[in-house]
Amino acid sequence: MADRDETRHDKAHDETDRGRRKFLLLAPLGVGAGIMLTLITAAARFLRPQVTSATGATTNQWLPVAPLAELTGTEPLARTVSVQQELGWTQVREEHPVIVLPREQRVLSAVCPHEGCAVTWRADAQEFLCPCHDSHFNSAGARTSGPAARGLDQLPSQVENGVLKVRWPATTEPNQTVNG
Amino acid sequence: MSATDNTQPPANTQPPARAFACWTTFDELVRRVVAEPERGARAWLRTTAGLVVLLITLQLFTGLLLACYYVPAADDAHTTVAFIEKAVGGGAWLRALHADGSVLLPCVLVLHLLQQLWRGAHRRRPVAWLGSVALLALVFAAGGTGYTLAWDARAYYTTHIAEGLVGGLPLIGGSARLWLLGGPVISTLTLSRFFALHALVLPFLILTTIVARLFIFRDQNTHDASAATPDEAQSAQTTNARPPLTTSSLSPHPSSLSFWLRAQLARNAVVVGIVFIVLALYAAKYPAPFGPSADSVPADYLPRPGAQFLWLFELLKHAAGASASFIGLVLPGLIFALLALAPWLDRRAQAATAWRRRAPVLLVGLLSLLVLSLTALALFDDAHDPRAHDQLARQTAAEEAFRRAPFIPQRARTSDMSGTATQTTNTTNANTQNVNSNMNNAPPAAYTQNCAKCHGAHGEGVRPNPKLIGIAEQPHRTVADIIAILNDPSAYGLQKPMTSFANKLTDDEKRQLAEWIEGLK
Repeated sequence: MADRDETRHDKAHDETDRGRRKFLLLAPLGVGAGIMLTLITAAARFLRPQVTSATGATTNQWLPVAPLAELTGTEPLARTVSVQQELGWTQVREEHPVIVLPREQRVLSAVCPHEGCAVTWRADAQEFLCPCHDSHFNSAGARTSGPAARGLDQLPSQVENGVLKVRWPATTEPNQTVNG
Repeated sequence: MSATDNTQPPANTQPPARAFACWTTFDELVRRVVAEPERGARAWLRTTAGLVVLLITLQLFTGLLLACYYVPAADDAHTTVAFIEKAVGGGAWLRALHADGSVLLPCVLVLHLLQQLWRGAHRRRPVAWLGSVALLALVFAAGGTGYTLAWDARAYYTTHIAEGLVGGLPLIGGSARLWLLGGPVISTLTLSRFFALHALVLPFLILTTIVARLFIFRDQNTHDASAATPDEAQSAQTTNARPPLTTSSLSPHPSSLSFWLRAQLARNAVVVGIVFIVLALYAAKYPAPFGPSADSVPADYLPRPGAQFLWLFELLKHAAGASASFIGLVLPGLIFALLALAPWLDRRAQAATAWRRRAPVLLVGLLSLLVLSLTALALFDDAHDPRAHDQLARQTAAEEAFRRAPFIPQRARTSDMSGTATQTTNTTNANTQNVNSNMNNAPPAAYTQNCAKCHGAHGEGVRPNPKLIGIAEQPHRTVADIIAILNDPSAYGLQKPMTSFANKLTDDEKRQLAEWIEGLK
């Protein structure tokens, strides 16, 4: 089934023949590997994640949450701060739910520190509840029970021209956890 | 003599190689794909199988990558393709590979069929032949549906031609057209449909055909054919028949492939390597064509299909009325049917003279020659018609300018606000403000009564009719031009359903309309 002349080959020839046979199998595999390597390199370049065109202007800026006139009553208010950014071929709006505590004029992130779901206010129990894994937080945002390791994060805020503003994204700030 | 081949001592072999051969069907795969032993030039001619494998793999790979950014919706498709072309690393190269591969694949498949015909393989292995013919038809269908996806001027025309061809079919034309488009007009539904066909249905069918051809259906005498050389036939007898192909992967040897198969595999690899390098360099130099958006096709745009469809394009130039559907759909269908039936039509030729045996290959060769000359004629026509030549040159220049211009992201949608949102800050709000200013700037009554039906309440366009937003930036669209278009659209190359409003509007209304349209951004 092999080369016709193979019967007349002695042992030395068999050795070189084995080398040739191996080469004939390895060369095609090499070509295939080369093509795949080229394509995979191109794929890695092609699929590299997009970075937002966020310049200094879009990060760490003071975004309005609510005018002071709205901060009446005692119930926490749900608000959303959002930043619109260019991402890839379109523009995306990055939204972040926040909670305004009107009396203290403090702003908490509504993102549960456990797995990132948005907590909701339950007026009857006067507490925040995370719908995903049943973490409970009191009306000041401190953890009362559940798998969350800490209370809701407080965001840096300030009042400017009668409007409560929050710094977002607050990535450079250390998390200021609400304590008890 | 087979002893040297099949009974190499396992001790001499490297464990990885042995494991590879033991635990994969690599040998099996090679036996199925790589042709049986032959010598010299003939062996090189039979490397078309390797090329088919290369090109189909390439199409699947590049297609999967393109699908990572592409959005099959009318509002987004052109933007996402522009993004791939201009903003993503290596995007233009991958898209060019995909486009060039789609032209090369049918050519290689025709060569593959031709050499099968020449050897009379279609008679000996009718199932394999049927698989190859089906593959060719599916590849053409994939190429055809692919044009729509870029949603550029070429997509606009290709889709309209597909619509016309299908709609012109006798009896079933009307409903076939509706089923193809997903509705009464070409819309975002059509695009989604074509995308599903191009990216899911056809690749699935192509892969199924290949797997079925290689591993499920077997021709009765494949086994004999692969043992065609006297040596092999003899060795098969002396070793009391080779083991069935399906159990060869259990052999304890590094690879049971014969010397001839290895040599043929190497020949395939050489050809595949060369073609890949040429294709890669070509794709790096010439990007895939990408015209202006289908929403704003210039009136003087000349659409040209890819090279594998030029012959059909040339034929359709001469096809009047209902014969277009015959030439565009029925004729290719008949050709494929004839090819598919070749093993049975050609049965009697088995015992005939050498001349009779070669008749089918001559017929198909002649057909290929006809296709090639029609393609050449189409190219010749464009090169020697000064009007077409100049326009095509202008289009190329416009495309190059578009490529050089930076990518502009699409404006954000403003409707997807979450329920709790009360306070929103736009950091890049220029686009949103523009939308608002359009909405506040109410159209004149003459617009709402006469134009809004086709061009949208605020000039946003109702497919397939063009939008008017941004029209001021296009050439020959000043206020004076728009008034002139209202008086005589044909002078600007505009066709029905755009009609003249010369007698339907007063001069004041026309000016008011034109100024309002000019202000649309």
